[in-house]
Amino acid sequence: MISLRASLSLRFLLSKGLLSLASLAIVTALGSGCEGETAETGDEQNVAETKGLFGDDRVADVLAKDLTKVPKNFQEFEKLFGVGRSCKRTDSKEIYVVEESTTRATGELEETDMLLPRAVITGCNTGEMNPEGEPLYQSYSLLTALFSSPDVPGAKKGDPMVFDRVEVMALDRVTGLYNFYVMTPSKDPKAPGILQRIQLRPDNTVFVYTKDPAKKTISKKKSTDRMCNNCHVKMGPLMNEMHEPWTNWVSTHKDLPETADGLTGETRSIVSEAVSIDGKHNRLSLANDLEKTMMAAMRVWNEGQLSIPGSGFVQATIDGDQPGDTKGMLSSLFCQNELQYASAFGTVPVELFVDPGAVAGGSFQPPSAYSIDLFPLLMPVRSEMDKRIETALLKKKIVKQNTAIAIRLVDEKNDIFSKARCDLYATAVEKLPADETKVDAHLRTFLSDKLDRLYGKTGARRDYVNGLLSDAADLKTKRAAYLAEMTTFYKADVAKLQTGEGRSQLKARSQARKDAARAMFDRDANPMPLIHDEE
Amino acid sequence: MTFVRSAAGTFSVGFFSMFAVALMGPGCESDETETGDEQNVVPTGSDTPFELAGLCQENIQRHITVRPQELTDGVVRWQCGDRPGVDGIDDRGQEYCEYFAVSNGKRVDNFADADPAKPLACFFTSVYLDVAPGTTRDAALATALGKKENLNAKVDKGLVRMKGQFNSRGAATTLVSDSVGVAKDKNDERQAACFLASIDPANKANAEKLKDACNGKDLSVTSAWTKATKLGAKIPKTTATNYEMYKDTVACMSVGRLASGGVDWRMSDPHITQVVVRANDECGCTYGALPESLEGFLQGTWSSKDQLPAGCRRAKVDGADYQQMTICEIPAAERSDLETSLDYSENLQAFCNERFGKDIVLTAPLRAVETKGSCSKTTSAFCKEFTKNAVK
Repeated sequence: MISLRASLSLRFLLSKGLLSLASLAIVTALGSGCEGETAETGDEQNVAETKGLFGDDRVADVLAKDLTKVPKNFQEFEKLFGVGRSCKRTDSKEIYVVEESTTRATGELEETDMLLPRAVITGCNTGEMNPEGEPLYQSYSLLTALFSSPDVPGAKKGDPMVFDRVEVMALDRVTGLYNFYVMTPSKDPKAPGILQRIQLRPDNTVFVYTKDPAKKTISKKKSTDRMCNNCHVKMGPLMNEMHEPWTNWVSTHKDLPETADGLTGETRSIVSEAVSIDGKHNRLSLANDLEKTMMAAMRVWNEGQLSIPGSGFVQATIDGDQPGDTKGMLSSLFCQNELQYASAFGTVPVELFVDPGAVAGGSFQPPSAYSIDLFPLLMPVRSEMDKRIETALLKKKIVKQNTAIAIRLVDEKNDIFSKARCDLYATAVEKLPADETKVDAHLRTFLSDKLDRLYGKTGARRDYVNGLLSDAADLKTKRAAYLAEMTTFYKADVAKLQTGEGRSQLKARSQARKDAARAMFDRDANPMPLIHDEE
Repeated sequence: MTFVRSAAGTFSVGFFSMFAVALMGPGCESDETETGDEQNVVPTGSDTPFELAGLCQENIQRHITVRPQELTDGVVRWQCGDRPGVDGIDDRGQEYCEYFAVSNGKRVDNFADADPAKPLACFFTSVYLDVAPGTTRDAALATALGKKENLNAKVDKGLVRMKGQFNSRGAATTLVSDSVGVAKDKNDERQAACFLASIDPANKANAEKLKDACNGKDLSVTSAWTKATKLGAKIPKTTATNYEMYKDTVACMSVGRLASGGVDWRMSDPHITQVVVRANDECGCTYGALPESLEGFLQGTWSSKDQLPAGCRRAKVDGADYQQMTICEIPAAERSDLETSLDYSENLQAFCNERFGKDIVLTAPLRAVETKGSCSKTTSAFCKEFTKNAVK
């Protein structure tokens, strides 16, 4: 959801009679928020068992004791929760906008000739921190997404945003995971909205709790499709274009298009918070800031809060409260589970040339772009999610940093879509010790048994890997030698930007990644942005 | 002593390296030198006016969303954090802002050197190198900085004032005064037009030909310019959609012709030049020297000069917020990230740049030094905006 790539479209849902089930992603562990759910045979729960409907989060704070407040639309939501246009900040309402002309109204991503903006609204940071002193806590603890559809009544008049569907991710204080909620109108316009909580279970099933004001009970049904799990692969927050230049997002680098002046109504009002369309205010909500919020969100979601041992996705997975296990998480070290998309602006992403994880410590800087032929555009690169899972495993000392680098060095030029590295994964985790303290040694033995094949018999890379896997005293020297060799390679490879033939080679690399990404997400509902082939 | 904004040295990585950067960062450079005007590790600048046009266009685009606010307020804004490759042990920052990590009142570059029992913070100073004669002011600011509400530790007074000679009030005043009355250059005007034509998607097929026709050529020569125009280069009319970008680009390119020099790959120099040149040339605005009461450019965010990025706070001096020194404490969870990062654990300054420096925004209050009544021409679209709140 927060990827702004809703996994299912409005029309798609309507056609299946699933509008109320929506395109949301879902996450929560079976923590305190799910007490009383052990008997899962029936579809109905007693209304008193609201713990099934709520986690311990900002949504519960407001609604758990009074379901008559459930908002029917975004306008009610923002007033009730003090976010969006009701945020008390004077410099920013934290409404971040991405310019889109695509829709998933048929279930598949399609280009249109309309401006179909989407927005992420974060939780309004007025300075209050959590116990860990996280400065962005208020922003990332409540995330909301708005999308547009060409099929809503006002779309043709410039008001295409969908407001009667509020998609929310709220950070659970206990589990450290995001709880996913959807709020939609009920059939009775005078009644409160319908509230749904969508939850991924440890057995990898998706359940939907629904509280309809017309009914006394909360229904609980297993979802027959993956819903937002199609996009939110790990059920965490996503932002495809997370780093500069934040392609398509309103940022310091990108203003609204001139066609934004044709927006009307509530869509105009929302979009105009990213940057004023008519110059009547100076408030800004720039992707520059959203990047920091999403980075913090991803860190906290993965690692949990320091004050709550056992919280966060990685520990929940280890504990069996999320699908998968340690073995599954190790795939983030070898392969890719999600993707980020990098583009050239003043510089070209380093990933076009080397795996930054392999040359870590070398301060490799992105080379300057060839200005009259700017590329790549939205090239898939290693996701923050996979990197954060790796970091979490390092912090938990399940994997040592040297081992993680050795794994990257299997293919020093490709941070993702590396057959050489990813093909190792299945055998690397065979007979993985259940004792987490022995996982690192297992991986080192696995790599050490294949040194010649993986790293060659001699050379700086092989020496470096030898040093990494033995924690050699002269590791810094070996690293320096390797990085010096890679610097030479890097300079030569970067020089390709200066020739037509070289640029063709580099574009082919980017194109191969795009093709691989399409193959990776070869399904109608997927988290990919619309990516164009390299010219 | 006269301070200027020129760089001592650059190195090139490619023929057409627009706003090029050093390929290797400075993380492994030798011991810090505090004296100040070395610039050994810097991005490359332009070799030709065509390349300069590219640098300028990128820098203008970098600030495009805040342009309306800048014009209305009569200010120039840019980020504190340097381009990749600039920060490092030998260089605390070149954008009228310097920054580094501090632990227990001392600068630390390696995570291992940080006191584990004390907070770790990124410190940003925009106190001019020439803020005041002597060291009395440094001592006072350092004492304030050491107080409990700030760094809560004894602070070396050498940390407070910026070290780069280019980070001085004098250099800023020179930059502004040089930009006033800078002569027009026909070649630059045509090079800007040629560059913008080369990046126009409608001209995609001729992009390389335009570069060949213009890069390194003297377009003030009619035959050369004619060749470029046949490929699509043209001086935009005032009604053209790219007119403002063109005028901004031409004005920015003046940074290459300033009497005392300016550095084209920085974000501050070309941006200040761009605004001042247009304000003077089109609106008639003139400017005086930056006052001694201004101890450095003001730190804020893109959305407000009065705010700071989340997690940052202004240093308190004499009980009040001081707008030229910012402390951004690194939360415990992010501190533990540094232990597992080879890129940052031995280069905390780079972390400070990436984590906070790009969001700490410097504001040069041009309007504060505007000559009263000088902004008398209001006919162009630019001047209509820029003079709206001019000093009457």
